[in-house]
Amino acid sequence: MDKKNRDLNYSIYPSDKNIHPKSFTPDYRSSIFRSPKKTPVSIENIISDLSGHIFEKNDLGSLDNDLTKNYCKNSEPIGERIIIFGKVLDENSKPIPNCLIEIWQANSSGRYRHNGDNYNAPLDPSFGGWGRCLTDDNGNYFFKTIKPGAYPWPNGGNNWRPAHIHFSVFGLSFLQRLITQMYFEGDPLISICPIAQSINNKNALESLISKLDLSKSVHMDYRAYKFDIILRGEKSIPFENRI
Amino acid sequence: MRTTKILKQTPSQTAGPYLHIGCIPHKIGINSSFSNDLNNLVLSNETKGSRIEIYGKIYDGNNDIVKDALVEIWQVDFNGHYKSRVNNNSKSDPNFNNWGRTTCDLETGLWQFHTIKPGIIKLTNRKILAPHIWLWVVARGINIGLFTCMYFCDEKNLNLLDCNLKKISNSTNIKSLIADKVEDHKYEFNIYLQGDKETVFFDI
Repeated sequence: MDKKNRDLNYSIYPSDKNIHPKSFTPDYRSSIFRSPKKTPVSIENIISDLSGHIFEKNDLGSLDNDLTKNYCKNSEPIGERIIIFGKVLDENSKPIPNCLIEIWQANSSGRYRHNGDNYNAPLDPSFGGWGRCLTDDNGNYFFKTIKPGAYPWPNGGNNWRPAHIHFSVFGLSFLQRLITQMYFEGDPLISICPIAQSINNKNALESLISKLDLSKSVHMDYRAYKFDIILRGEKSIPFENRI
Repeated sequence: MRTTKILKQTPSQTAGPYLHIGCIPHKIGINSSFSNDLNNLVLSNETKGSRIEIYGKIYDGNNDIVKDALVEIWQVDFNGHYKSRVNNNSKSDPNFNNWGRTTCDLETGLWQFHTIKPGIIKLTNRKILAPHIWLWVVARGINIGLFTCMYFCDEKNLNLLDCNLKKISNSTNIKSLIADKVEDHKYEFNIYLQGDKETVFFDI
């Protein structure tokens, strides 16, 4: 065993089957033909060392985490001004610093700035709908944005997505990679959304619902919602099978 | 050091159809305010190893091509090393980044990477992992990101020794993990989400 490589041999707790949605959730129509039918094969996670891709501060622009300013510098977008903030932690409650978070969302009327979105609601000339940031040394992140609107979507019925923001999170290891969606507390559409309800665990779904936190609001400007993100944790005992 | 799990994982949700604007806007020609896409599998002239192109398409259970997926790859350098975040003495190639990502072409569904052929990973007890590239796929309709692993058809002998492939029972579709060599340095790796050819996905 090369002592120098000892650090590389930590492994990661498995993906929690009780928390994540199943692949096949037919109420969400798109999953019907895009869900593998076979159980994934479990293997020892040789690649689970701490060698995930490293992003650096100068990979990002100074306004990348301010969606109220990062698309149009001359005027501000229309909608409810909010801050989304929280921590990225692992299951051991260890903060994850320097973690890249990317978000994307509809504007305040429920329209994405994407060629695939042809909802009638208007685009906002001052709003792009994307942002990214790195967590600080204590795992903290924040975005300034506009609260996204709900929108109808084709799923075979009268389906409306609750207001949500997409999150892409990197962690320290490729195995911690996560894409998810954040909702807003009090939204009556959450309980009838087939995508939100693909999570068959009340507490797990609850953990995707951000909570109003006035203590972090900016006086007379932004109100704040808190959303913590928990990634698969490192097992502390190294498995020493790598040369 | 002992740790205990005290928090619950945040559940996954589908990336939906509009992931491009958040993850890889320039790739599909969106006039983004981001100065760059973060898809850092950058090969410089100094990167060591044999240049290869890998590409493929993703098929759903109707045999329709999935055109809206995001594909990320993760691989060792030419010499079998990942870059280390914690170890400055890492033997890895400083000019190779291990990670890259792209999206399927919105019209053809084709994804492709220009990278280097990964080396062999040597484990203890003379065990090895044959050259391979991990892929992670997300898209509308995929509730949790799918991990699969691409091996090379021109590494038959090493593939037989690979300790992950050895664990896969004969009944599973091992063939689905072996990329075809189309020409020198060019490999095709199609992914089948369902059906007779369903790709082997991993819980790692």
